[in-house]
Amino acid sequence: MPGGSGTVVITSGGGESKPKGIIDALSEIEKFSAMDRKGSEIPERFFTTKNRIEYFEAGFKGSLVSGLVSALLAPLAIGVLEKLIPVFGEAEPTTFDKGFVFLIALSFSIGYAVFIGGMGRYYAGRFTRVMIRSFVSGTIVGAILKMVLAFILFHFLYLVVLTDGRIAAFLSIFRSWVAPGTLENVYGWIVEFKPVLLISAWFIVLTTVIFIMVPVISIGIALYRERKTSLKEE
Amino acid sequence: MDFLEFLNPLKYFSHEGYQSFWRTLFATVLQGFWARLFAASFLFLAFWFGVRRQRFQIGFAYFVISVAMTYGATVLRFLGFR
Repeated sequence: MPGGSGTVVITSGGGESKPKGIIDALSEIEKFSAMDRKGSEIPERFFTTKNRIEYFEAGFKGSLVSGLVSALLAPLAIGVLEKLIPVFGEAEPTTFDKGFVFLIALSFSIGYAVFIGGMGRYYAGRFTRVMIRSFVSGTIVGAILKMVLAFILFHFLYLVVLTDGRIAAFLSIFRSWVAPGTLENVYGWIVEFKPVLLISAWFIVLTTVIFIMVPVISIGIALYRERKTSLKEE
Repeated sequence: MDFLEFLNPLKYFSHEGYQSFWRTLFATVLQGFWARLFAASFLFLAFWFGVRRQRFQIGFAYFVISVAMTYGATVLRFLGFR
């Protein structure tokens, strides 16, 4: 019984309510963490296989969706840096613009990482640990899947779709409506923009690795603190 | 249909005046200093509501507005609106 006494009444059947997203999962984790800390320790098996799958699913979905938003905005941010995409109506980006477009591209992942990182402080008690582990493992798998999808998509676009011949063939469809000079400009822009896709693919790999490290480090810190406290108590 | 006619902006503006109104609005709101200020403010609000207050829907809405402010002028220019 860690640090408390009293009877704990579990009204929701040991985490029976299915978390729809990160907020539901976090709320449940906060609730059971309070029980774990102040009341009798809840047995680990109260968190059933069904609960584990549901928490995994919630983490997986949230991470995949937030990651895909970042993956779509990454080529835009890198395009701004390469001066291929104007930002705030100006072709020449300022230092603020460069920083801002990256902040926008990563804001979804940053927000999500802050939430996940915050879960580390509830990493105490067997029951809560299983909850967090299930959710975080879903988050990590979702992030890896997003990274793989984005990596394949951007490489597919660069290596297969946007070949010089295919771009020219596609643009030739518009010959009758668009002036040849404009088509040449578009062709030139696409050829210049192509490498941005490769940079974006590797940028997403880097940011995903950092994103995955956030909950891992947060849990690591929680474990370290707990070990330190238990050593002091001994 | 008097009611629909009431909603028609061309009843109050000339075609050129109406077009000029939107152009001015886009030129002031989606470009330069004001675009930067609005985009940064909306992104701040997105973090404030989405992360701090844990109201994802409002946070997401502010995020979308911030993205629209940042790349809006680019999209309009691409569509031929100068």
